[in-house]
Amino acid sequence: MTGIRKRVTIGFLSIVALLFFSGLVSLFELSHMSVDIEAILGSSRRSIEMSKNMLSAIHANDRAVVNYAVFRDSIYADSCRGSMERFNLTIRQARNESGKSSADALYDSLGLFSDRMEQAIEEMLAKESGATFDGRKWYDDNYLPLYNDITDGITDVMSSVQGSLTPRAEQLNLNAYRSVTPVFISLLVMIAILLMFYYFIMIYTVKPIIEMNRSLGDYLRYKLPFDVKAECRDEMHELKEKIESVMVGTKTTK
Amino acid sequence: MVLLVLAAFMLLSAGISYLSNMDTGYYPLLMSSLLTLLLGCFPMIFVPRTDRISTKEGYCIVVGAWIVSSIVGMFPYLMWGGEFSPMNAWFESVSGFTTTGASILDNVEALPRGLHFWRMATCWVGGIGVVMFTLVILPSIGKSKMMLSNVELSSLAKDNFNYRTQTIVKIILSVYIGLTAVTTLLLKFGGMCWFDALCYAMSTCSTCGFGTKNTSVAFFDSAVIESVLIVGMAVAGIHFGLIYATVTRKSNNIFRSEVTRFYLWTIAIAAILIALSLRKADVYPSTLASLRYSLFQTVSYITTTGFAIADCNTWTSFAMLILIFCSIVCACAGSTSGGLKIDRLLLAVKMMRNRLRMQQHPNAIFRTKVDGIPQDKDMLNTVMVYTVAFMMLILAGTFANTLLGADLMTGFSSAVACAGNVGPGFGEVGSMDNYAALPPIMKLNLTFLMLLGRLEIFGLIQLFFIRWWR
Repeated sequence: MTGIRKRVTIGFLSIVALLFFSGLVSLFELSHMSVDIEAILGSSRRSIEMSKNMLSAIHANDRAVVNYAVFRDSIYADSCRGSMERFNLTIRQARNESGKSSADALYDSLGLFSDRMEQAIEEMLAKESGATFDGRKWYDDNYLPLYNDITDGITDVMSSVQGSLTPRAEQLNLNAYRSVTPVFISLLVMIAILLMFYYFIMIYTVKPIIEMNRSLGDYLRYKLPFDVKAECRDEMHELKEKIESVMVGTKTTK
Repeated sequence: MVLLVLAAFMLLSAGISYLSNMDTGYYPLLMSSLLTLLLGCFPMIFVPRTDRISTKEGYCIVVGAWIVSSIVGMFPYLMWGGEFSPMNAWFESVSGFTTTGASILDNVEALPRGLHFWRMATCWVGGIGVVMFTLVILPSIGKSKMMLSNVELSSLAKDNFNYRTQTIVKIILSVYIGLTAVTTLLLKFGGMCWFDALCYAMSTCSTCGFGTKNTSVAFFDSAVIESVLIVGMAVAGIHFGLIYATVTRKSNNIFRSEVTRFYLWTIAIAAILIALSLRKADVYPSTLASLRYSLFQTVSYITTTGFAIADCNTWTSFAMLILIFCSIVCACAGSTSGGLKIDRLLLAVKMMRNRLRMQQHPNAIFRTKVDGIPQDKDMLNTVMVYTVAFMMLILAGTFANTLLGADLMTGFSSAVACAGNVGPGFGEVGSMDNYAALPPIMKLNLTFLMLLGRLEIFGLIQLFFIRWWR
């Protein structure tokens, strides 16, 4: 490989290639990270949505039961059953969505509480038509404990699902460091190459030019011999030789 | 050029990762290979070929090659992550290239195959010397090749080589590659899979000690495999020129070498003494078992390999002392082992004997001879100076380690293990342990000891003196 132009071109192309490579690697790693973050956020969003649906269903059931059992509003009879069915559906959806064995026990508990509540509501609906039925007392003694159990259960499910995302987030944190490392190393290598490039350009191009300039100046001012101490290669060497031959030619013609 | 060789090995490791269902080591190794290739090719655009290299330049090239190789060797570890923090990656890389074999990995088996192969590649390249590989590729360019090989090989190692530099390099490489190939085949027939056989063969012939299992060779629990490794390690501890002469049926073979006989006798006596000590203390149920474990560990320590089939921390103090002695003395010059070299011990013993004789016969002249050849005074002076320097290095290393928090056994044995490029020590860094628990500053200190030991101390130290640069 000869020629300053070729060397400088190859040098710059190497640096460009390294920059491009670093960019590609960072793009690749960042897109991976983006996918991981999206997955974690998506799981979190879905679990919050499911919990919201479950709470909404159980609150609707609570309103229906209060209106029917305490305030004796008979139009809420169907609403009591309907809201329970909706709540059971949301439990099934949430369980399918999570698919995690760690939260299965909590979903089972919720299912159990839901069954008990359904049974209690059916018993209440059967008794309600009798004159001695005390709706308020039934609500406080039978319904409210089950309602509290269910809302606590929903809270536990939500905490469990959110908690299971913590290891993934921690892993993402570790992966972030690992993802950045190749880019960091590429940049360090590029800095090393740039420093080498600077060093070689100085030694083989800049210094010879400065030396030749100095020596020519000495020759013109003081008639000192043309003496370049720097190492000259390729076109620099040719330039030096041509200057020397011009000087020799000048001396001869004199 | 050194970086191009390393890039080629990284690419090979990436290939192994690719064949192993593109395990997690594939992208780190591929990227590291590309970066190393770029870094290696770049200077070749500008730096002209030269016929003459001065001594200073030679030292700078060799020391620089080792340090740059160790830095570049970190790339795959850092990119893979896991247990490899920057200090851990530096430690593992230096340990591989210097063939120390000390590891910071708690779980070696968690590494992907590609990274396993890269670890073995670092020690295989380091075993023969990072510069030696390139010397065989470079065309003969005047005296520069001789200068570089003079710096890479110690003066003791150049004995028994009566050839031109290019031929010496080719002999060393051919013996090395041949030994690796034969050991691989024997290990395969002994029951290992091809990959493990190749890895352990590379680690054996380079006398490094890196393995693919958490419990080192003890994992295999096979007398056949242990026997192959004992022979492999012992042969790797012999001067390669003598091995070549033996194979090509020349007169200066291993059977006629006083140094080799001394080395083999040292192994035998040390193994027997350790076996007797273990049997007396009832560490193992039978004499045969004691001998099996003692022979393996003796050969492993004296050749600076560092493989383990037993936890030497549970052995008797006498046995541990003998192993420490083996770690200091080590195997023959001209082999891949580190340490003081048994040649120097032999010369020192002979010099001491002559000194005693001179006191009895003050007017007599006694020459120190090895294989019947009188050794000149400069050589003997160099041997004694190096021996003292090595001991002082161990002492300084021990001081530094204890200052940084290690107990005496750990501090001393790790200094011996790293300066001698053995690998396992005692205490917290025993044969079944690792260096993971040590503080980062101590690991840095130990890597410095490893490099000093591998570069025969003076090669590296003189770079720190301003006067040397003038």
